[in-house]
Amino acid sequence: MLLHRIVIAVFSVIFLSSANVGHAEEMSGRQIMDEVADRQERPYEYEVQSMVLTDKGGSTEKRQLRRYVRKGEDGNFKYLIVFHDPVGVRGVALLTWQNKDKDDDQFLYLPSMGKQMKRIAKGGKRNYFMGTDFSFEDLILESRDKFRYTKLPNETIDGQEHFVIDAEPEDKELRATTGYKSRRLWIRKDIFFIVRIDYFDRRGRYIKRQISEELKQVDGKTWRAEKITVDNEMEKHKTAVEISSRSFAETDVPSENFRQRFVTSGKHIR
Amino acid sequence: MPITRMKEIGEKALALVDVSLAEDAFTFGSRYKLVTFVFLVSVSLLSFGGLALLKIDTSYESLISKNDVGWPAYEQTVKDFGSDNTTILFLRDENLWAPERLRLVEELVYALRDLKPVEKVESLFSITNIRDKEGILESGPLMDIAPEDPEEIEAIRNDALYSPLVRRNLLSDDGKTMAVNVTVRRDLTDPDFNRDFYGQIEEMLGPLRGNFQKIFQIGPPRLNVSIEHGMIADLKFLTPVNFAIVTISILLFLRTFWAAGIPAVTSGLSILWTFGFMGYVGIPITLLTAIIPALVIVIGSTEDTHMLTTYLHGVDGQKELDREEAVGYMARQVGLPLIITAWTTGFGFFTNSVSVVPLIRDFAFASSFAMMANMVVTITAVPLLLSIIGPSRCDLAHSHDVPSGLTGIIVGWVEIVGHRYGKQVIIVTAILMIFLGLQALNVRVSNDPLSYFQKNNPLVKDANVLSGELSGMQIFYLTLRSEEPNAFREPENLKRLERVQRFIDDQGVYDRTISLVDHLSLVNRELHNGDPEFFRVPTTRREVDEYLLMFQRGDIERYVTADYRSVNIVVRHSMSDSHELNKNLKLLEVGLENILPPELKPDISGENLMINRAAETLFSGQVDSLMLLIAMIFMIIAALYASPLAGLLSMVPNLIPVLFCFGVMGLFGIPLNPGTATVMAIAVGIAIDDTIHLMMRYASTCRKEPDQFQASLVAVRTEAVPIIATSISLALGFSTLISSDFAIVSQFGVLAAATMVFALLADLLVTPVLLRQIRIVGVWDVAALNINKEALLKSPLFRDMSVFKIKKTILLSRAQEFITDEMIIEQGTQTKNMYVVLTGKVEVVVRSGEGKEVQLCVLGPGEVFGEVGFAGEILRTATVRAVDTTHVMSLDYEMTRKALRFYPHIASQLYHNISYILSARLAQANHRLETSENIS
Repeated sequence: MLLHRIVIAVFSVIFLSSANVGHAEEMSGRQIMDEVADRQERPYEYEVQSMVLTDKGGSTEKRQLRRYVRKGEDGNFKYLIVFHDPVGVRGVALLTWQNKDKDDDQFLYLPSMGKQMKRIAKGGKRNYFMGTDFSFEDLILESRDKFRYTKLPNETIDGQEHFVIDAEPEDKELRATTGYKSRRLWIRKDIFFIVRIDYFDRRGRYIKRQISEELKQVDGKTWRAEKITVDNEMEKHKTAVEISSRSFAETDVPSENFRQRFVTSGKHIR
Repeated sequence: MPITRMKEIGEKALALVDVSLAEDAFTFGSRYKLVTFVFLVSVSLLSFGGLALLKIDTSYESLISKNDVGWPAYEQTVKDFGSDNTTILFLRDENLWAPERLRLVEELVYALRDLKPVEKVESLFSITNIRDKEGILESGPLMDIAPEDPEEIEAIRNDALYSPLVRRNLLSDDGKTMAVNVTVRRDLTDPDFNRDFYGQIEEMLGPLRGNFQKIFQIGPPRLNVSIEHGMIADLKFLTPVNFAIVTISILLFLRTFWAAGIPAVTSGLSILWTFGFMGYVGIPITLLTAIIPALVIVIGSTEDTHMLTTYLHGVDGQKELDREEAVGYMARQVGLPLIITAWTTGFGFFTNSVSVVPLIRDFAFASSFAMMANMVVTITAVPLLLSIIGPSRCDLAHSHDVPSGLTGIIVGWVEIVGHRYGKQVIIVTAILMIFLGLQALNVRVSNDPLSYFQKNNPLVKDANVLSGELSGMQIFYLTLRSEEPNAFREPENLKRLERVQRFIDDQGVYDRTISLVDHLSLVNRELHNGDPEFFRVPTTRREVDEYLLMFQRGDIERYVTADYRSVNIVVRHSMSDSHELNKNLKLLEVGLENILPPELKPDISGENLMINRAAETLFSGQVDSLMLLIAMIFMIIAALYASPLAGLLSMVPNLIPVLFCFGVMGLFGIPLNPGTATVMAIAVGIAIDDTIHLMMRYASTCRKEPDQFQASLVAVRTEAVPIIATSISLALGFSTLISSDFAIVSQFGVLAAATMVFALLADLLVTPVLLRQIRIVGVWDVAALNINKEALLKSPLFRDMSVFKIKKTILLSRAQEFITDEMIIEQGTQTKNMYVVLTGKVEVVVRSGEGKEVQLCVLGPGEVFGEVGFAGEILRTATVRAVDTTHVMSLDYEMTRKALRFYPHIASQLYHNISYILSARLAQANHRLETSENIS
C-alpha cells in the first residue's frame, strides 16, 4: 500500500513538474506578457543614453539624454526625458504622466519658451518623437489591459527559442489614437525578455523594427539591453541608442522630478 | 606660273566631272535594270534591320544643350535635395472632404508609396501639421488615415487651410482642390520610364475618376507621353495626307496618271532607308524627326516632277515611243541640275547640325540622310521605272510656247509684270524687305516644352487649371551653399534666406516658394499661440535648434542638407515663355548679389531652366546654319560657273524669302523655337533648287539664243511648269503641318509654306530680271567644249589668254555653224560682227566688177575676219564662204559688252587683242595705201 502511494506520489511529482514545464509551453500571450512585465519592470529607473540618428543619405546626428522612470502609488508610471547634448537642445524635456482610465498627459518643454511647458494634443501620441524613430507611445510601457495578445508558434533565432506574440489594441480610445494596427514581439523564452518588435501601421503595413542587443542580467531575473536600434524601413531612417549608465535606485528618480516645476524652473539640467 | 598650272589641273579635273557623267549616272537605272533592282532590294532589306532598332525619345535631355554649364550644379542639387521630377495629381470636387473621397485618396497615397521609382509622396496624409490649439500643441501628420467623423474632418480641413506648408501647395484656397505630389527618381537609362510611370498612375487614378469632378496627373511623364502621342499622330496623319497632295499636284500639273505612282516608290524607299539608318545609328523618333516622312514625300516629289516633265518632253519629240531614249534625254537635260539641287537641299538640312540642342541635331542628321537617300533612290529607281512603264504621251505645251492652263496664266502674268514693271517690282521688293527686316528684330526665342503644344491641347489647359488653383507645375531650385557646417542653423543666415525668399515672392511672377524658413516660421508662430507676429525666422540659435526638433528628417530633407550647410528654396511657376523666364531669372540673379554675402553661394538650377536656356542657343544656331548654307551654296554656284558673280546672283532671290519669313515671324509673334529655328536653312536649301534650275536652263539657252532677254523668257517658260508645280505642292505639303498637335511643328509648316510661295515669286519675278543682265556659262560646258587648241592659242583674238578663258569666251559669245559653200558674209551687204574661225575652213573671195570671183585667202581655226565690223555696221568689201563644215564665233561691240560685262578680266584682254588686230589692220591698210600711192 505504501509503495503504491509512493509510486503515485513520485509519478505525481514527475507529472506535475513536467506539467509545469508544459505549462510554460501553454502560456497564453497575455500570460507571457505578464511574465515579462513581472521580471523586467522596475518601479524606479534612471538611464543615461546616447543616441545616433542616421538618415537615408548616411548623415548622422548625435544626442545625449537622460531618462527617468518612476512608478507611483496608484500603479501609474511617470516618465521624464531630458536632452543634455548637443548644446542646442540642452534642456529640452518631455514629461509623461500615464493614466489608467483616461488619456496620458504629455508635456513638452523647450527652454527658449521660457517658463511654460506645452501640452501635447492627445492624438499626438503616434507622432515621432523629436526626429527619432521612436514615437511618443513607444517611450512608455503599454497598459496590457488595453491590448489583445495572440501567441504564435515559437521561433528559433540564433539558436535561441523565442515566443512570438502579436499585440493589437483592444481599447476603443486607444485604437483611435495609436499609430499601430499591431506589433509583433519576439520574446526570449529563457529570460522572458523582448528582443525584437516589428511595428505595423494603421493600414497593416510594416513600418520599422526595434532590436534590443547586448543583454545583461542586471538584477535577479531582470535583464536590460545595452543597445537598442530602430530601423525605420518606411522613413529610411535609423535610431541607435546606447545606454551609458543605469540605476534602479529610488533616490535617482525622486518624485519631485516629475512635476512641471522641476522642468520649468530649470532644475532638470543642473 | 603656278596659277595657270592650277587652272590647267582644274580644267582636267572638270573634264572628268562633266555632263556625261551625270548622264551616265541617271541612265544607269534604265541601262542596267537588274543590277539596279537588286541594289534597291538589298538596301531595303538591310534597312528593315535598322527599323527594328528604332526608338522613340521624348525626354527632356534631348531639349537641353549638352554643354549647358548648369549640369554639374543641377546634378549636385538633385543629389542633395532630391529629384525635381514631380508629377502632380490634381483632385477636385465640390464635396472634396466627404469621407469616401478621403478614403479613396488615402488608398491612392499608400499605393503610390509602394511604386518602386517613387522617391517621395507629399500629400495631406504626409504633411506635418503644427498647430497651437488653445495652448495645446498639435504636431504630426495632418492625416494618416481617412477620418470618418465630420467634426474631425472639419478640424483637419481647417488646419490644412491654416498651414502655410499646405495652402496652394496641396490644397487650394477654397479647399476644394487637393494635390498629391509624387517625386520620382528617374532611371536615365530607361527610355520607357516616363511612359510606364504615366501608365501606372493612370491606372491608379482609374477607380477615382467617377468620384471626383476633375482629376488629372501632370508633370514630366505626362509631358513626354503627350509629345509621344502628338508625334505619332503627326506621323500617321501627315504622311498619307502629303502623299495625296503630291499625287494630286502631279496629276494636275503634268496630266499623266501613271507617273503619279513614281513618287510613291521613291518616297517609300527613302523613308524606309532613313528609318533604317536612324535605327542603326541610334537617332530616335522625336517630334521633329517624326515629320521627316512627310518632308521626304513633299521634297522628294520635286525631283520627280522635274524628271517627269523632261521625260515627257523627250517622249513628245519622238516619232516612235522609245522609253530608254526619252530617259536619256531626261538625263541630259536635268541630270546635273538635279544632283546639284539634291546636294543643296540636303546641305540645307545638314547645316542645322551646328545646333547644341540634341533634338535639332538629330533632326539635322536624319533629314539630310533622308534627302541623300532620296537622291540615290531617285537616280536609280526613276529611270528604271520610266524605262519600263513610263508614260507614252505628253500633254504638255512645247518648250518655246507659253504653257497652257493654270501655269500658263501664271507665267503670262509674270511675263507682263516682269517686262513692263521690272523697276517697280524691284522697288516694291526692296521696300518690303526693309519693312519686314525691321519686323524681324522683334523675333523672340522660346524653348519651353509646354509651348510646343497648341493652346487648346488638354495638357496646356490642365497646366493652366493647376496653376490657377494651386501652383504651377514648373519647378526650379534656388540653393544657397556655405562652407561652414551648421551655417543654416544660424539666425543670421536664415534671415538672409528669408530675404531671398521674400525677394523672389516680390517679383510676383512665380506661383509659390517653399523653404526651411516656412517650416521654422510656422513653429515659431504656433509656439507663440498662433500669433501672426511670430510668423518669421526665430532670432536665436537656441530657438532654431529646438524648433528643428519638431521635424523628422524626411519632412525637411528637401529644404536643407543634414549638415545644415546648404538650403534649398523650391520655386514653382507657370511661365512657359523662355524669354520671360530668362528675363526674370536675370533680375533674380542681380537681386541675389545685393542680398547675399560672398560666403553664401547661390545656385539656380532645374531641368526646366536648362531647357529654357537652350532657347538662347536657337538664335545663334539658326544664324550659324544659315551662314554656313549660304557660304556653301555661294561656293558651289561660283565654282559651277567660274564666276563669283553668278554665286552672288543665285543668293539674292533666295535671301528675299528668308528676310520675308523672319519679318512674318516678327510681325505675327511667332517665336523662334526648335521647329521654326530649323526652317530657314531648310527653306533656303529647297528654294534655291528652282533658282538653280532656272540658271542652268538659262545658261544652256544662252548658247543658242544671243538675245539675253529672249533667253531668259525661254528659260522661264521651260521651267515654269515644274517650278510652279513643285513650289505649290511644297507649299501645300508644308501647310499640312498646321494640323499638328504641336505649335512648333505647325509654325514650321506655315513658315516653310510661306517661304516656298515667296521663293516662287522671287524666282519668277526677280531672278529673270537679274539673269538677263549677265550671261553665264557652266564650267562643265567649258570643259566639254572641244576646240583646236593649238590654232586658237595662236589666234590674235585670243592672244595671252588661257585655254580656259578662250573656251569661256567662245561660250559667252555666239557660235554659229555653216555647212559647205554657205555664205557667212556677203560682199556689198551692210552687216556688223567680227568673226573668228573655230573649226573648219573659210575662203575670202572678192567679186570683181565682171562678176568673177577671186579668192583672196583661206582662213583656218584661230584666224579672224570681218574685224572692221566689230564696232558697227559697215559695207562688206568681200564675201566669206565656208569651205567645209565650219564653226565660227561672232562678236560685236554691243553683244560683247553685255556678255562680258561681269567678266572684266576676259573683256579687257579681248578688247586689248581686238584693238591690236584693228590697229594692225589699220597699219596694213595704210601700208597698202602708201604702196598704191607709191605705185601711182
